[in-house]
Amino acid sequence: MIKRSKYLLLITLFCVCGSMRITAQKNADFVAALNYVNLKQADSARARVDKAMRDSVVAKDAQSWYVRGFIYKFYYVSKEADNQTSPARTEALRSLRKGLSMLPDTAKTLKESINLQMKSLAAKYHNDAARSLDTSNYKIPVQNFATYMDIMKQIEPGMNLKPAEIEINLALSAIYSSLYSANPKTRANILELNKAALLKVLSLDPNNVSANYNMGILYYNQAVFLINNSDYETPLTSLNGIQDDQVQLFKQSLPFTEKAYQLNPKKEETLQALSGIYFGLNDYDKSKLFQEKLDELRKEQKKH
Amino acid sequence: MREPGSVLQTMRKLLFIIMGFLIFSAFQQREDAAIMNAHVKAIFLYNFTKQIEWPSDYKSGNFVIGVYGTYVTLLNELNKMASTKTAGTQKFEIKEITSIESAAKYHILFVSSDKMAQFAEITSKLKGHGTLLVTEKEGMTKKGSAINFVVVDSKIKFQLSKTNAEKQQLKVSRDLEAFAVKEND
Repeated sequence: MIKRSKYLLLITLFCVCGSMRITAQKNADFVAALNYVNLKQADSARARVDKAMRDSVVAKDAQSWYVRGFIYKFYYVSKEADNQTSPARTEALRSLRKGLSMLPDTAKTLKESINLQMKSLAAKYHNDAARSLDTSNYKIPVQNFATYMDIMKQIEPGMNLKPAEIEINLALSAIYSSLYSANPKTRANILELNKAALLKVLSLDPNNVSANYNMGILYYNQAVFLINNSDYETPLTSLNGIQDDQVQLFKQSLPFTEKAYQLNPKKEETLQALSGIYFGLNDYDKSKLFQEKLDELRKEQKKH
Repeated sequence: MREPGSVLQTMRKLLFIIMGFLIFSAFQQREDAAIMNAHVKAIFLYNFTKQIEWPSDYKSGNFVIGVYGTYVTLLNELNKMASTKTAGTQKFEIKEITSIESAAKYHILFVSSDKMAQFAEITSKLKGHGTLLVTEKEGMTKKGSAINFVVVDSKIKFQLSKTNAEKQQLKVSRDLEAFAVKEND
């Protein structure tokens, strides 16, 4: 594995050096910076490339920004690979984007090289987002995923990003739900974030079973929370209003859960949810009906 | 170096997060709706203790609420209520009733729908006892119940028979009367 990455680094260096022939002749600091990459001395490589960029002629050259981006990416991989908010990675991306913006349409080879580096950075942003996403850390992964999407939209405008966007939003929804369950009183904003994540999924894929189901559960949990957190001394006038809101929430839950059921009638959780929603709406016959369907499903599953 | 094309590998973790939540939320739901329903009824029962006046010999000692029939979630809710609230100066005492004794003294007796067959016997045994009889089946105020929970527009409401309450020596406030729904509502 190490040998393979060494080989890849040498190949890339060769390509970078090749494309840098003209600029390198103009500025010896570039040659030194690339040599430091070859020697795996990230600090020195970064210092020398920044020194080179102080030359106004070099700073006007798209290739220079490409090399700077390459070296900053090398620095990031060497020194900040575990840092989800790595400044070196941000700088690498900025440099590559700047290089790309300065390129004429005819510079296809360099454009491809820059795209390749950006694609590699995009993968890092994506993998970081997915790996680090949990209840204690979701804001940074969300930002990293957004950066991944930005890069991919820029370099591969035709790429289908829907599946990745759906998955990350579903995972985010699950995280938000866990956070909400842990302390619903202080997390009203989490609820809105959760709705936004699920609605994003449904805008991309209206027939997504998980998003429909989770949207139903979200309203369902709100309704349950509303009642169960009402004090026993709640006056009858207020109780009436609370029940109005509760019914409204259960009714909002229903179309999403019913759709999840239509899309996948064999999903136990949806049948349980529908039974719960109808129970909450005090429609005990329908609640019982879905409970019976659930029992039948379980019997069938046992047979198989 | 993993390329974006290999995102599926990291998606496994995302999928794990999603599946974990699905199982968690489904487990919760089974209990929640029933608890919620019982919680609403407990709020109503607490309000009744404020809006109804019991005979003088019921104004000392514990305030006894009996639950006759199979209704564990309501019992749990009432016990929770009893641990934090009182009926004026009286402490709540929640009892799970398995048989009705003529000499029993309940402030409120909730008769669940599975015990409707014995309702005539219950009313006969507790006649004039100062017990507020609470039921949850359509038409029960005509059979002696003072308060009957009903569902109107998906919400839990209650019907009130002032006559049946008065037969039990109970005085119902005008406010409570105003909140009750009519039989044909």
